[in-house]
Amino acid sequence: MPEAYQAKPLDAGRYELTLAGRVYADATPQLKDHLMALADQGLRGLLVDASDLEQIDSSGLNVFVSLLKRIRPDGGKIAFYGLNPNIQRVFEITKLATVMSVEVERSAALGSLA
Amino acid sequence: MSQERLLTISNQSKNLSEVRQVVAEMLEPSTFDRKQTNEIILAVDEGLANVVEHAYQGGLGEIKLIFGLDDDSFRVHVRDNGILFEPSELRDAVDIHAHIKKGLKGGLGLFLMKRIMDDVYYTHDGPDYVNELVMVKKVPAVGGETS
Repeated sequence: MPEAYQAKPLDAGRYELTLAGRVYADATPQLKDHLMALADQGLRGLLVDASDLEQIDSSGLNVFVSLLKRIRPDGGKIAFYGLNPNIQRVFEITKLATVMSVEVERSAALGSLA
Repeated sequence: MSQERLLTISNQSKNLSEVRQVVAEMLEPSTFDRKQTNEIILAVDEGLANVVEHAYQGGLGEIKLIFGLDDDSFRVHVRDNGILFEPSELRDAVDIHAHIKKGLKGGLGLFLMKRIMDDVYYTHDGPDYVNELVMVKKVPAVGGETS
């Protein structure tokens, strides 16, 4: 499963990551290693396609919290799109939507990384 | 309608999926709708993941789970013999900005658990466990919502 988590480069410093299925504690270490390695290589904007993401738990969310902590001092941003109602609820409860962009459409999410 | 299931697992994250499956199976014929069931699975996952990660401080240990469903509520008891867990660590609110600034790793999961379930508490007075995490969700009336 972690092999599927490969962010694709968009342009200078910006990548797009597709999440699918359920992202739980038993699947997040490799995702975190992958994103932190990209941060070391200059990732400053991450677009996350969550259209096929069924559920994510706090360990999965913490991957993005850790990434944001790493890249935000350099102006880095994270933007999600395509969240289902379950995950929207999680973002609302945790208030993650106040620190990361959450959009319906990919174009809006991409625009928020500018 | 009343049923109870028991499950004993080791404190390894690979066992979380089995617990999710048990919760899904128990709630499938209940009046919880799909959205509520998914939230309960997430809450149980968060509570159990915290026990898996912290109770035995890196060592191997046993976790006993008791699931109960009747007309009034769905209850999950998670028992371990690890280090004493302080209930004060259950948070009423998460300051996500401070969370990111300080690089905090924990807290989000327990916060989610507490917000989703109707009642969450710890006991420490059992004869065969150190900590017992109890999570309770009221069963909705047919065609209705939980309060």
